Amino acid sequence: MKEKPHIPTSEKDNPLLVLDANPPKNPGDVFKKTGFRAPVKLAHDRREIYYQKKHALGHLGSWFTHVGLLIVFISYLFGQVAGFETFFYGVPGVRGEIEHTNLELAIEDFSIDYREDNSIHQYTSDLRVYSRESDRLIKEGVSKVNDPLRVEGLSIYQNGTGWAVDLNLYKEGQVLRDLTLYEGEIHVDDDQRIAIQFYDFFPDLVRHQGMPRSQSPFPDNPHMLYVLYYEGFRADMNVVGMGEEIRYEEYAFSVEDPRHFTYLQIVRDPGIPGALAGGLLLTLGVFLAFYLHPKALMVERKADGALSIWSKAPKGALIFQKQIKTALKEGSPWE
Amino acid sequence: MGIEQSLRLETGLFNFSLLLYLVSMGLYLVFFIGKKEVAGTYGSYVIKGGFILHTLALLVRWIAAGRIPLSNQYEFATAFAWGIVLCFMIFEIKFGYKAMGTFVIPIAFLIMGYAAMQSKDIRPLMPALQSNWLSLHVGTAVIGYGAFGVAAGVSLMFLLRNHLSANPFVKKHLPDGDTLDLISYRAIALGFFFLTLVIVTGAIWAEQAWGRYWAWDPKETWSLITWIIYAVYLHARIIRGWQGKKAALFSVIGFVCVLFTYIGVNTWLPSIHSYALVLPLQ
Repeated sequence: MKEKPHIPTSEKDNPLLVLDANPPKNPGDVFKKTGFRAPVKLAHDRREIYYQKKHALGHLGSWFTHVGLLIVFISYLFGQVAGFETFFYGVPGVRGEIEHTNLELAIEDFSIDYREDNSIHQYTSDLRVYSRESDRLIKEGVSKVNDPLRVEGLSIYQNGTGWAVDLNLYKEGQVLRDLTLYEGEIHVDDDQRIAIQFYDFFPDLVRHQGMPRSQSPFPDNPHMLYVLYYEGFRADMNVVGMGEEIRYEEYAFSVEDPRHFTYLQIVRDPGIPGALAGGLLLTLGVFLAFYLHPKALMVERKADGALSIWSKAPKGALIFQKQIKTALKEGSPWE
Repeated sequence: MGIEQSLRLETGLFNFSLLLYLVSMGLYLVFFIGKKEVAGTYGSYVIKGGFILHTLALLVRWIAAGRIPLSNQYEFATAFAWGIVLCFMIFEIKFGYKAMGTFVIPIAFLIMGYAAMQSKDIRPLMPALQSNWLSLHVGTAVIGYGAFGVAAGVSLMFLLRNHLSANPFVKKHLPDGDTLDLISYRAIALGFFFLTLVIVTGAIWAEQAWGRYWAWDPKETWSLITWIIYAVYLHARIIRGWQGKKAALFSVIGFVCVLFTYIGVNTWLPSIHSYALVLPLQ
């Protein structure tokens, strides 16, 4: 910040002249008492002038703030355009492709860590990421809430969970389908003649005033609330226990092996490093703008030995002037 | 000490600090309206006493919960009031105007009153809140919101200044317009820096917890609105020379936004920040 200080020639030239202070005899003391470093003597033909400045970095505050904001904004737009978000869910053992990538994701395990009061402490998915082309294991690790698995520019977040069951669907006594049905899903089969919706799940079913509810999160008496559609119309809705068979016309179904599935959010956002840098620059800029006020002090020793003092502070000029007067009267408040 | 005993102790300390804030508020009113100089001095002592008890209440809860107490409506409300009182004391010491207490302490007292109406139960943290970012993100909000509370109180003082009789007592204890404007500006500058930190740390945390650093969640959006209002205030002040009444009005509007961001969003708008509600996995 090389800046040639302007040397005032009169009070009119610099209205912030400190007039009624009672300066010491030595110009160096003025700078010391007001918290400045030792001054430099300015080159001048006839006048003896000393100068020092501080907090010059404060001039950058506004620049940093606005450039930081711009970087955040551009990075956000870039992330929206160049990044993507997708979801992947399944029970342990499921492996599938990650959309928009050449990677495959395998769910090795999923667990929920309960506290004594049955509140949830953490959800943890054990994951493996493979190359789709070579089947090579690229990364193995866990994804927890607040601790995503990072791989190949992707972040895999523990986003949700629910229950899943194995559904066995029969038609006229023959197995029609055997699959995993996830909470919230609807399975449509046999040319849309039959559909079964996994509406809700009660791991530990009790009836309260005739309504089903769960008395704990643990599968001690698991029941699934299903909705059965037949030829496009809702035909039945009830709870079904594990292994229990429900019949309707030529169809029958049963569910078994209830377990949690994990719901993962997969994000690639190439704008994140830029947004982070912009955010930090913005914060630094705000700090510099409001807490590092640039200040300058100029002291002239007149021929009769008296000192004239000029102050310059683009932000808070009057306060600075007041501080100088106080410092010269009472000693520096900054020492 | 068991958790029940700790809660009882915390409740006692909280109630006692609330009482002291009420007494202090009364003393500041007597000081300013009744023109009793000594009441202002006592008000200043009492608020410091209340602040110490309030701090102890927060510490007891911190120890009992085993985590920083900043995770639900009660905990943030009481910390918010603590932040206002802390900022008030700093500004009172720095500028030396006791009359500020007449306008700022009622704001802190009202927020303490709001805290008193919330459930004080200590609940374990849900997974999304189990992060070191919680302390930084919400801690900076406490200071930032506290500073905005002081700015709003001082701005109210500015707006009411012309309606107060110009007797020697008021002249002595009521700062002039420029000083009030400066105090409000300083408080807003402090709050603005901390609000910036709140948003930046929140974004970093959100990227880790929710997969997006900015999701236009109501809380995020209203924080941004609040930040923009104060940014407009600061720009208008520097570029357009806004001071005095316009600036004071902006300061009060900004604080209304702060209150809405904190209370309104949590109460009326569904948000991933609404931790009073039970969410599936957050």
